Amino acid sequence: MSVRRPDRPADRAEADRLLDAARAGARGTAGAVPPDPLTDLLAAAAAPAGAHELAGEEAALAAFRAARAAPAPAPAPRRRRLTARALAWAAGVLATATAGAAFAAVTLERPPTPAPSPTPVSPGPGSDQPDGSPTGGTPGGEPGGGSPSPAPTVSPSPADTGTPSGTPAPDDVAGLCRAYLAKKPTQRDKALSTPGFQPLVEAAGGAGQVEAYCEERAAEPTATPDEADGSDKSDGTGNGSGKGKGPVNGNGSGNGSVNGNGPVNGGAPKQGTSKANGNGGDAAPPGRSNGSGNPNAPGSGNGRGSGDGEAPGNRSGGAPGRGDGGHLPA
Amino acid sequence: MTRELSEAVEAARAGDEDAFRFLYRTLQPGLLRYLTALVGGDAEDVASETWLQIARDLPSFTGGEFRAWTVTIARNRAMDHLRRQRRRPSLPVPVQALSDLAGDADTAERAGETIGTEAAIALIATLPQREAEAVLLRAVIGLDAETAGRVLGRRAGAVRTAAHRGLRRLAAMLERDDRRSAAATEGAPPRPRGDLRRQAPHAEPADG
Repeated sequence: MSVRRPDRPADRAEADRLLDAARAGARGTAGAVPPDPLTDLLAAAAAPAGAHELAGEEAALAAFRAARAAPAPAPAPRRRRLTARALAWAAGVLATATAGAAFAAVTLERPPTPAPSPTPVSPGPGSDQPDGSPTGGTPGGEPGGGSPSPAPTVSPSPADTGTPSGTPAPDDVAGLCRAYLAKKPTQRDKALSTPGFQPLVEAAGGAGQVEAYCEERAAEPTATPDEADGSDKSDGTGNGSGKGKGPVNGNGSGNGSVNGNGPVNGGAPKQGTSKANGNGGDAAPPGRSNGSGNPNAPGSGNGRGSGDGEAPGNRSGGAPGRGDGGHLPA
Repeated sequence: MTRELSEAVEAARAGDEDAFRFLYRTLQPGLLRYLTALVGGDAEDVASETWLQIARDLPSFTGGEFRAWTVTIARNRAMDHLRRQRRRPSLPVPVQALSDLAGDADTAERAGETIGTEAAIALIATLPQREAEAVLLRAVIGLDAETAGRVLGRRAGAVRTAAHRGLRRLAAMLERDDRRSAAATEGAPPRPRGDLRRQAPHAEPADG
């Protein structure tokens, strides 16, 4: 039976023709001629829309409107920005906490020997990126002085570029003093010209008097801002390292542990009340230090943080820090 | 038609709602019919998902054949749907529903009416999937063989062959239906000639 029926596409070309015709809407050839059932079928398959087929029109339009109102691409960047901000924030908090340990040490400094401690730590003002890895808690352990304050590291880093950010509270002057004294004499004048040190200059009554002013303050038995009682005995050692960059970014880390007796109040001007871990500083801005000491903290802290903060004012300090705490045998 | 379509696409991308409505009215019937062949009774749902995605992704449409773009979305949605369904085997098999619809086609023909769209789609859907898709993309969606091949991930030649086979199969089915209906209309007592004609389909595989 080699019957070839007319309504069967003989080859692919014929099939193509039929398919194309269907799309073009050649429905049942004008009735008269016996309609080709296949053509008819294809035409029916490609027939114009029935009303029920368009039932979803409004839903589709609603989807279109919704998509226009909240374009898909937009959310992505926003989310990214948010996470970045959140990260920076978290890092800042961490850094602050970490740096605190270092500060705590500073805080505990015994009045008589305040000057020596900071020396190595604070990053030189001149360098843009003072990498202070002051580790070592220089002072650490100094039994006599009993000043555990190892690392002022973080705090004082006066931005060399001098961003005046944040007007420090008067208490900050103490931090500035420490930072100032920590500098090499050759760098001191330069440091004073930076906006970061302006509060100190103002407090001292002039650039020329800063040194005397600070030494005087240093000599005072009790750390100026706080009321530390001389009676504390704290021994501590701490390590801190800090890295500061410019005015705004700072890195610091410190770790200290202090055992103290006596009511010691952290010398850090700003936030005095933290416990076990001090609170670090804002490395960035001109020497604003935050710190807080730990009054009676028989503890030892370890902190590690990293961050990058950007803040004009005070809190900026991003500090990737890491510290190792000291141990203070009380 | 094509130019009209691409103008509408541009306008819709710029936010023109009427243009989008035009796109929907133009494309939805073909998509729905194609989806019916793929997923049976769930075609409407899958079509809604498809339009949702079209509306959302319209800004990322970078040109080319818009029909092919939409039908690719529809096909992906349909495949997702079938995968989900396979995980829930309790659902009725679409094929069953389709052959029911095909039965309706017989009814329509017997009544002497022109074959309806649904019946036509149902009949095409009884083809093996490759052939059914090739026929639908070519005849209903209106893609050429090359574009249909891109949608299906096959070469244009393969699409042509599949479409051709599908049409032959359809023609054979129609012929059978035709004879059956002819026999039915010729009267209750089937005449010998009718019996003879009914033999033909059985012999068909020999020459097919």
